[in-house]
Order: sequence, then C-alpha cells, then structure tokens
Amino acid sequence: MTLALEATVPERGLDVALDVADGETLALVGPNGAGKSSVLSLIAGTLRPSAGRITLEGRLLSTGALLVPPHDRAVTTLAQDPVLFPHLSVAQNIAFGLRAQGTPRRRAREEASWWLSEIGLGDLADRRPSQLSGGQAQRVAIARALAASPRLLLLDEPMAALDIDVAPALRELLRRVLAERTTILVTHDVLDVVTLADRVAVLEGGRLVESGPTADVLARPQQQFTARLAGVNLLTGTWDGHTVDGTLAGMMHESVAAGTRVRAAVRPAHVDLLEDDAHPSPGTMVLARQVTDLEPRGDAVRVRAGEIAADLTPQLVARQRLRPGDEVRLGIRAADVAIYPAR
Amino acid sequence: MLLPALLGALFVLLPLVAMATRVQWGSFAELITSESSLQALRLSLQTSATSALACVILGVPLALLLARTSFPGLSLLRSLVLIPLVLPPVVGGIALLYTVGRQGLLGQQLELLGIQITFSTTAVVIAQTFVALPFLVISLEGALRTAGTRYEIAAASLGARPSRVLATITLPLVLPALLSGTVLSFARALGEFGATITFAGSLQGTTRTLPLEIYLQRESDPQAAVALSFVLMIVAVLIIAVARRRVTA
Repeated sequence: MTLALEATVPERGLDVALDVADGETLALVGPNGAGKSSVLSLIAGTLRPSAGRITLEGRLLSTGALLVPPHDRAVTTLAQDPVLFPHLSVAQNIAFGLRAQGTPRRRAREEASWWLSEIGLGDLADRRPSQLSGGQAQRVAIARALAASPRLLLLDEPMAALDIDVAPALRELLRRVLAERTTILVTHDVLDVVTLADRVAVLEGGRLVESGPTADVLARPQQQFTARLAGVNLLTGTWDGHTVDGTLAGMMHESVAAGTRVRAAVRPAHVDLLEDDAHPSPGTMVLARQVTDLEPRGDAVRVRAGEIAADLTPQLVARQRLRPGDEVRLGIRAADVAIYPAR
Repeated sequence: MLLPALLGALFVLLPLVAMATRVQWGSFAELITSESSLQALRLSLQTSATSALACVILGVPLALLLARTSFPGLSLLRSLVLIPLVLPPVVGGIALLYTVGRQGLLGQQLELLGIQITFSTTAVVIAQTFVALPFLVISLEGALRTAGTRYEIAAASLGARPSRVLATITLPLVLPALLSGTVLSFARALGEFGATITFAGSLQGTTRTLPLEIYLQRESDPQAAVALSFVLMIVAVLIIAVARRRVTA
C-alpha cells in the first residue's frame, strides 16, 4: 500500500480512512463540503490531523503529534489554477521542482525540455506564464508537477477552470502521464472518473461512504451521490424474493435471501411515460408519481417525479403537456433494472 | 473641485519655485563646492546609503514576520514599527540618546566594550535608520500581502525548502516593492535632521550631514544655504522619478 491514511479532524467533521496502491489513480468524489479538500490538505501537510496516521511508502508523514512539512513529503498538488511562477519562464517553471531537489542546472534544463515536448509545447520554453492560454498554462503546470517526480500526485479538479474545448486534450494528456503514477484525483466530472481513475472513493459528510474499482462503483452505486455520478436512478427497498417492496422487479444476478436490503438502479432513459390509459406491456412495472420539475437534457427533457428521473422525448412531453404537479404513470421494464444488495 | 486641486498643487510647487528663484546661479558651483559643503554632501550620501542598506537588512525580515506569520501581539508589533513615522524626529533622537548614549540603557555596556556611539558617524546612521525603517517595512509588507501565499505553497509542494522559496519565489515577486521601499528609505535618511542633530550632534565631516549644513549656513551664508537646498531638492525630484518608475513598472 503506497498511501495509507487514517485521520480525524473534528473541527471539520472529518473522520476518514483510505488507501491508494502503488501506481493507482484514485478518484475522490463527493458533494461540496464533503471534506475532499481537507483530505488533500491532510496529505499535502497543510492540515494536521487531531488523531490518526498518514504514511506514504512506509514513511510516517502525519500523526496527531507529528507533521512532516509540505516540502519534505514528495507529495505535489496540482489545482484548477496552474499557479505558474510569473517571474520565471515556462522552462524554468518546469525545472523548478528538479532544481529544488538538487538536480544540476544542466540536467534540469534537459528534463524540462523533454517535458515541454511531451506536453506538445516545445516551442514555448522561453515564454512567460502571462503569455500562455489557460490550456497551455495547465499543461505546463502538469509537466511542472510531474517533473518534480512526486511519490504521490494530488489533482484537485485540474480541469474545472478550463474551456470545454481544451479539456479533452488535457484529459488525454493526463491519462497518458498518470498511467504508472500514484495519484489522487478530486473531481466532479464523471468523464474524469471513467477515463482516469482505477478506483473511486466517495466522501460524504466527512466520511468515506463507498469505494471500489471504478467500473463496479458506477455499475452498482450505493449512494445517491454516486448514482447521480453514474447517471442512474437509485431506489432502495427490501427484496421479497421476486420484487423490491412489491413494486419493482428487475435483474438480480446473485442469490439473495428474502428480507435483504437491496438497491435498484435504472437509467432515466429507460424510464417511460405511460400515456393516458395505455396498458403497460408485459414485464413493465408502473409507478405512480407527481412531476416535480422539468429541465432540458441534451436531446431529451428530463422529467423529475419524486425520486425518479425520466428522460423523455420533447414530442412526448409536448403531447402530454407535462407541468410540475401533474400525476403521471412511469413504466419501467424489469429487464432495464439492475438489483443488487445494499452495502 | 478643480480650483482647490490647483491650489493644492500650487501649494507644493510655489515654495520650490520661490527657492529656485533665489539661487545665485553665477556663484552656484562655487557655493556648493566649498570644503564644508562637499564634506556634508559626501557624508550625507554615505550615511544615507548605509542606512538604506540597514533598512533592507532589518526591514525585510520584519516585513516577512508581519506579513507571513501570526502570533499574539502581531498587530501591536505592526503599530510599534510605525512609531518612528509619526514620532517627532527630535523625540526619536532623545530616545536614541537614552538607549545607546553614555548614560543610556545600553550605553554603559557599550562603553565597557570600548564602543562610543554618540556624536559619531555611526550615530548618524542609527538615527537615519530609525526614522527610515517604517518606509521600507510598510511598502514591503503591503506587497507581500498582495502577492499572497499561493506561489509559496506551490513551490513547497514541488519540494522547495523555506529558504529556497524565500530566495527564488517570495523576494523576486516583491522585488519592485523592495526597490521602491529602499529608495524611499534612502530619501528619508537623506533628509533626516531632528534625530541626527539631537543624537549625533553637528561635527563637521563626522556627523554634519547636508540638512545640518544647510541649517547652519542659513545663519552665516544664506546664499550657500539656498544653493545646497536646491541640490537636495534636485535629489528629491530624482528619487521620486525613480520610485515612480519602479512602482508603475
């Protein structure tokens, strides 16, 4: 285990334990105020835990009594703001970490120019940060962080401040350079999670509520936050052997005793609206709900009705003249519902 | 609005013009190159430069302490540092006299070590540094606060130890403010009169700086006093020009 963290910070309501394996990228997700930034501060050494211990590659970094200073941790943070040093050239910025760690000037310069071509900015070595675009500056910040060869890289929403047209190229760069690096990535973007993260840890109210390999967590979300990230409706109930709470049937791939708490996930696109007195087709369950609100969603209209969201075609919404407050019948086919034990 | 503004500008400008009209240009060179004038000018430049250097040596750590740390009594310390700015210089001179003077707080210990400061060139430098230090500290502390700590945090996260962060990030980022603060404290030292005459006296070639020389000449040779005043005024104008260039750069 490369990073092992166990820490409490009562004044921030934080009580968390997590591990990151060697070479792994862990996505740390959660609602605003869940404590993600506090976890990064704990690891970076700018926040001292009240109790607990943080070790990196076996070296003790923090306890309630000990705090190795930030510069001596081999942990580098990259935030959404690149924070390039304005008085240094691009190449000097990239070489900064190397020089700080005692690399001779010449070698640091060579490595910086290698990184410049790696990020595709080989001809901008002598520019000042003020002469770069936002996307270029963030590329340089990535190169600067990686050139310092940290044992652990902390990425705090590295693409949040970028235009959507430069984010894809940057995400691709990160995917390439993070492959073998031990990284914690804080993000709100599911695309970052699926392209960059090996594992996902979900933080809520200062506690780790869910974690696992990315594909598993997104396929079987346990928390409403994770379900939203995965883009599914999440219902929780009791398995009676055939259905959830007698109303919802679905695909159950493991044998579960009746009376077990289970969760049911269904995509909004698979939730249908039954028009007027239409009869549901066989295998379709009907849930009666009241419309809470409507919002545009790409080429569909997302209709929220209680805890369920349905993506309907604009034509259907127009035909039915849906308004908040309307009573509706939602049809869900059993084949579209994944049911799995609650944890 | 415009009229009071013009009056204000005139209020500053008119005395300078009035003085310039009284300069006897025919004997100007002769007046400012007399033995005692040259000595005073040389002494003024030497002591002011030394004081400016002392302000940097003492003021940079003080500004860093005020801008980058927090401890009980910090705001009190910040107020104390400003005292020389508002204290009448002659009071500052008396305070220094009772600190390192023969009868002063540290005077006896210094005497035992064979060091006598009062009425020496060192005393001039101490008096000038005392009054000029706040200029550098204020200018630098403001710049440090404006620059913020984000670059320093980023540098530490890349593995730079605090001394390296200070040398390669913090100080280069506030260099313009450090330079203008140094120029301002040099200017304040150059004009120093009250604390110097109280604490260092007026010995020709040792403690009689240009402002003291002007004050003495005013009695015996008004023409020389005016000529020397004009020289100091030119220096002041040059300093303002340099300081403004640095600030706007």
